[in-house]
Amino acid sequence: MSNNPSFPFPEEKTQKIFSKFQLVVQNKSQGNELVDSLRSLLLSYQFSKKKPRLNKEQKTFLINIIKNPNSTSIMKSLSSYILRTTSGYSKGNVLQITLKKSNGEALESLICFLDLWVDGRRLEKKIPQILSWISRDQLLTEQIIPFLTPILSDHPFIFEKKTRDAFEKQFITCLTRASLNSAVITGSFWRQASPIPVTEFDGSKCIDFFTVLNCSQSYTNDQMTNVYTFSLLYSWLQTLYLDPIEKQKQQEEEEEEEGFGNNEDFEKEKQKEKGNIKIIKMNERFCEAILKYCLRTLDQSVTKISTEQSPKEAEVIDSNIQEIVEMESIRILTLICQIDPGQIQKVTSIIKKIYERRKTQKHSLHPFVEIMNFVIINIEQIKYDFQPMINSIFGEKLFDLYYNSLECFDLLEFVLINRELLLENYPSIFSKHFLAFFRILAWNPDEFSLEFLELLPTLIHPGNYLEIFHTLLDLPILSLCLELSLYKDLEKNVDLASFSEILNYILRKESSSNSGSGSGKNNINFWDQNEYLSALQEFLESNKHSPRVISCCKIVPILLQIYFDVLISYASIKEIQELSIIMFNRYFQLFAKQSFLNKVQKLILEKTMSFFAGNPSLIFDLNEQFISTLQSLSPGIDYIGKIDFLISITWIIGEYANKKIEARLNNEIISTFFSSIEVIAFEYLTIVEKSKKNKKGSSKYSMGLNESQFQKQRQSQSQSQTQSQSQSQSQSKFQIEYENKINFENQFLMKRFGNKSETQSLLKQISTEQGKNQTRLLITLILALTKIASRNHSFIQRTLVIISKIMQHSEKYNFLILERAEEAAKLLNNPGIASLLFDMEKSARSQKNSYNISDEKSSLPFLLLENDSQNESFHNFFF
Amino acid sequence: MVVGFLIHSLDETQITYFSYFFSAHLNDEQSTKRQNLIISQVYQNYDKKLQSFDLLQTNIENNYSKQLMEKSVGVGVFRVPESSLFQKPKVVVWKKVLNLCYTLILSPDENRMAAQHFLKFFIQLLNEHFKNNTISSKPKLLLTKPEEVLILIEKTIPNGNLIYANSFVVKNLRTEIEATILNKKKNLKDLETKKGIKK
Repeated sequence: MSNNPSFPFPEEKTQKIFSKFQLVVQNKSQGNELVDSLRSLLLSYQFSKKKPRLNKEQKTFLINIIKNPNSTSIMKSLSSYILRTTSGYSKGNVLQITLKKSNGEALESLICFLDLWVDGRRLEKKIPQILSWISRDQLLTEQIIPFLTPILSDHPFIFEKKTRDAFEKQFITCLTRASLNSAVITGSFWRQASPIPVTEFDGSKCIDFFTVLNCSQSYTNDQMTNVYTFSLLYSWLQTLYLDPIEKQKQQEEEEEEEGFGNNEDFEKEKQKEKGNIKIIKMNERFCEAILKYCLRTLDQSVTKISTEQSPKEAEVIDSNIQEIVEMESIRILTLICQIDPGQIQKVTSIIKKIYERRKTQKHSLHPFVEIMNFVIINIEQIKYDFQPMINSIFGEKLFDLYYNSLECFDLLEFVLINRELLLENYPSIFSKHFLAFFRILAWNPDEFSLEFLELLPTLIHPGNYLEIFHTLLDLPILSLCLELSLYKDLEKNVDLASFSEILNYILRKESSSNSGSGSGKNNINFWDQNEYLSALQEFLESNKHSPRVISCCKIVPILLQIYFDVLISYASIKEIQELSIIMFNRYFQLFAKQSFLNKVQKLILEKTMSFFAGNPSLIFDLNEQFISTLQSLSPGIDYIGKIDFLISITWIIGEYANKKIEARLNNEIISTFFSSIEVIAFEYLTIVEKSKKNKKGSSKYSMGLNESQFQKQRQSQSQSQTQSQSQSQSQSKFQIEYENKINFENQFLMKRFGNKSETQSLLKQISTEQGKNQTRLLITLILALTKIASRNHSFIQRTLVIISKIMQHSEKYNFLILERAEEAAKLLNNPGIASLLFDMEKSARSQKNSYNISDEKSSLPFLLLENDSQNESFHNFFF
Repeated sequence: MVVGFLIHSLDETQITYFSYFFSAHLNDEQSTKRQNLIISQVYQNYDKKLQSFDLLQTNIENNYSKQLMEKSVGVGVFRVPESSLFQKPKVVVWKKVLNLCYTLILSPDENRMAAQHFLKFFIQLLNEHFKNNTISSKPKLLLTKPEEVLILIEKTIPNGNLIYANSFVVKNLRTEIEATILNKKKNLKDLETKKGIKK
C-alpha cells in the first residue's frame, strides 16, 4: 500500500483495488496477499466517493474467511468490517448466506453478524440457539453480551418474557459470581504461577464479589463478562422495562386528553392497544442482584486509590472511573425505582448519603446531575429538602462552569427533560437562577443553540420577563465580558476600572428582579445611564468581536422571536404595555453590529405591530411614550433604523388614534399626536427640498445618541407649530442645527463602526436606501395625517397645507408620493367620504392577549400560569 | 450505545481517516453523508472556539485561565436532531488531539462521561500501540496499518458498548490487543511457510 494516499481515492484506483480483490477471491489467496487486498478494500470504502458493492461470490468469500479457524484475527476483523460497512446496502443478504451455512459449523461465524440483522424476526428464531450457547460456554457469553446492545436498540421485541428471563438469569451469574482470582498466567515451563487474588483500589484483597471497580492482574472471561454486563444494564432496563411503562403512560394521557371514555369502539381499541404494550414485572432476583451490585460500586467509588498499586497515570484513570461508575450506578438505581417504585425508600437513603458525601468535595457536576435526576423523578415519595443542593448547583457551581461544555450539556439536557417537574417543584431554578443559563449560552452559542431554543419559554415568567428581554439584547455583550473576565484579572486591571460597573452588572450572578417585587423593574438598563454610556461605547469599541460574539448576534433574533411568541400568547395587557415601553427605549440601544441591529430592530417593530393588533387600547396607554419618542428623534438625521421606526409609529398612530377604537382617547391626545406627526412631515419636506437644492450636501446620518439639548429645542418647536410664523422660524432653526450636527454625527459613526472604509461602505449603503426610505416615510406621514383629519375635521386644513407644499414642488418628489398626496387631497376635500373610509369602528380583534394574570408576583413562568379566558393551565412547551 | 466512531481531521479538508458505525441501519448508502454532516458540525464548533481563543490568548494574563481555555477548545459536545439521516436524535462527543479528532456518536441516553473517558484511554492505547505519543499528528501513518486500528476499536468499544474500564482493564485490553495482532503476524508467517513448502 502506498504510504501517502490521496483523498478521496480516484475512481480508477478503486476499480483497480476491486479487480485485485476479485483475483484474490478467484484464486482463494491466503497470507499477506489476502491481508493486503482486504486492507486496500477497507481503505477504498473509507476514501472512495462511490462505495463499490460486493457480489455474492465476494461476500461468501469474506464469510468463509471469518468461519475458517485458520484465519488470523486480522483477516477476520477486516472481512467483518467490510461486510459490516456494506450491510445496510444488502439488507440481510450476508446473514442469509451465513445462516444457511452455519448449521453445525463454527458458532463464531454467526456471532460476528448478530448486530447486522436488519430483519429482527429471523434473528428471533435463532434466540433459543444463542441462549443454549451462553448457558454452557463462558467464552461465548463474553462474546455475545456486547452484541445485545445493538440488538436491543434495533429489535427490542425479540426479548419476550421467556427470553428475557433466560438472559437475566445469566446476567445474575455474570454480575455476582465472577472469579475472585486473576487469570492464571503460565509461568516458566517447570511450574505454573499461582493465582493472584483480585483486589480493591486501595490494594486490599477483595472479600466481597467482583465488580468493575475491582482490580485483576489478568482478567478471566467471567470477569470481562462482568464488566460487559454492567455496561449493558442501563440500556437493558431502559429498553425492556421503562420504555413500555412510559409508552403506556403517554397513551393514557393522550386518551384522557381526547376524552373518548364513553365511546365503546374507542374502549375496545384501547384494550387492544394495551395488549400491544407488554409491561412485565421485573424479576425480583435480577432486581436484587442489580441493587446489590450498584450499592457495592457506590461504596467502592470512595475507596482511596493506592499509589503503590497504580502508577500516577493509572491513578488518574482510576479516580475518573470511580466517578463515572458512581454516576452510572445512580442512573441504574433511578431506573430501578421508576420500574419498581417499591425500591424508592431504600434507594433514597443511599442517594442522600452520596449527596452528603459529595457536597463537601470538589467534584464535577455529572454525579450531582444524576442525584438531581433521581430526586426530581421521585419527588413525591422523597421527604428530604434538596433546595440547598439546587441553590448550590444553579446559584454557584454553574456560574463557574460555563466553559466546561460537557458538564453544561448534561445539566441542560437534565433541565430540558425534567422541566415540567422542575417548574412545579423548584421554580427558583428558572426564576432566580436564569442568568446562569444565559452565561452558558453566551459562552457556547453554537453548541447549545438547540437546547436554548427549547429552554427559553421555560425561563420567562412574570417576575423576570423585562430582565430577560434586556439580557437577550445584551447577549453579545455578556459574551464579550465573559471573554474579558477570563483573560484579565478584573479587580486588579487598571484598564478595566472604568468599565467595572458595567462588567459587574453584566456578569452579575443574582437576578435584579429578585431584589424587588413585580416584573423586574429594578433591573438597570445601563444604556439609560449617562455615566455608564460613554464607558460602554468605549468598551465596545476597544474590543474586537470574536466569532463567539458574532454567533451570539446570530442567535439573539431567533430567541427574541420565541420570547415575543410567549409574551404575545400569555402576557397581560399591563405586561405588554411595560414591555412596549422598554422596546421603544432599547430600539436604538443595541450592540453595534449592523446585521444584528437590523434584525433586532425589524423584529421589535414587527412585534410592536402585533401587540397593537391584539390590544388596540395600547394607543392610550402608550400615548405619552409615543409623543415623547417622536419629539426626541433628531430630525433629518438617520440613525440606523430610525425611518423604519418612524414609519411604524406613525402608521400605528394613524391607524389606532380613533375614539371609536379606544374611548379613553380625548381631543387633547389626538391633537398632540397630529402635531407631532405634522412637525415630522414638515421636517422631512425640508430635508427633501434641501437635498435637491444642494446635491453635494454632506452626509446626514447619525447614531443619534446624547441628544438631550436637541430634544429641548424640538419640544419648544412643537409647541409653536400651530402658528405658521413660528413654523418657518423653527424650520430655519432646524436647518442650522442640522448643518452643525453633520460633522459630529459622522465622527460618531466613525468611532462606533471602527475603520474608515467600514464607515464609508456603511454610509454608501445607507445612502442608496435613503431615497426609498424617505418615500416610504412621507407616504406614511401623509396617510396618518389624512386618517386623523378624516376623523377630526378641524385638522383637515393643516393636512392640506402640507399636501399643497408637496404639490407646489412636485418636481422634487417621487411620483408615488405625489399620487398619495393627490389622493389624500381629494379625500379631504370630501370629508364625508374620508370619514366613511377612515372613521370606522374596528371589530374587536383577537382577545386572547387580554386575559389577566392574577398574581403578578408569581414565580411561575407564563407557561404555567392559569389562563382564565382559555382555560389552559399548561403550555405545550414548544414554539 | 455508541452508534458511530469517527477519526478525522479538523481542518478545512475534513478528511475521515476512519469511520465505524455499529448499527446495520447506519451502514447504508447514506453513511458517507452522515459522517460528513457530523464532521462538518464538529469542525464548525471547533473552528469558532479556536478563533475566539486565538483572538484572546495573546492577552491572557492568567495562566490558569489559559489552561482552562485551551482545554475547553479541544473538546465538545452537541445534539444532532432527528432528520432523514438520523431517525432518532443523537449526541456527539468529540476530542481533538494534535491533527486528529476522535468523535463518538451516541444515543441520547448514553453515559457521556463514560464516552469522554473512553476517548482518553483509546488515544492512550493508540499512542502506546504505535509507540508514538504524537501519532495523532501523523494520521497517514495510521493508514499504513488500518487493521490494527480496527482491532483497537473492536476491543475497546465492542459492538458499541462503552466499557467502564479502570486502569487494570485498560492494561488487560492492551495485552489482548497486542496478542491479537502478534497472533496475526505469527499466523501469517505460518501460512507463508506452509505455502512455501507446498510450492
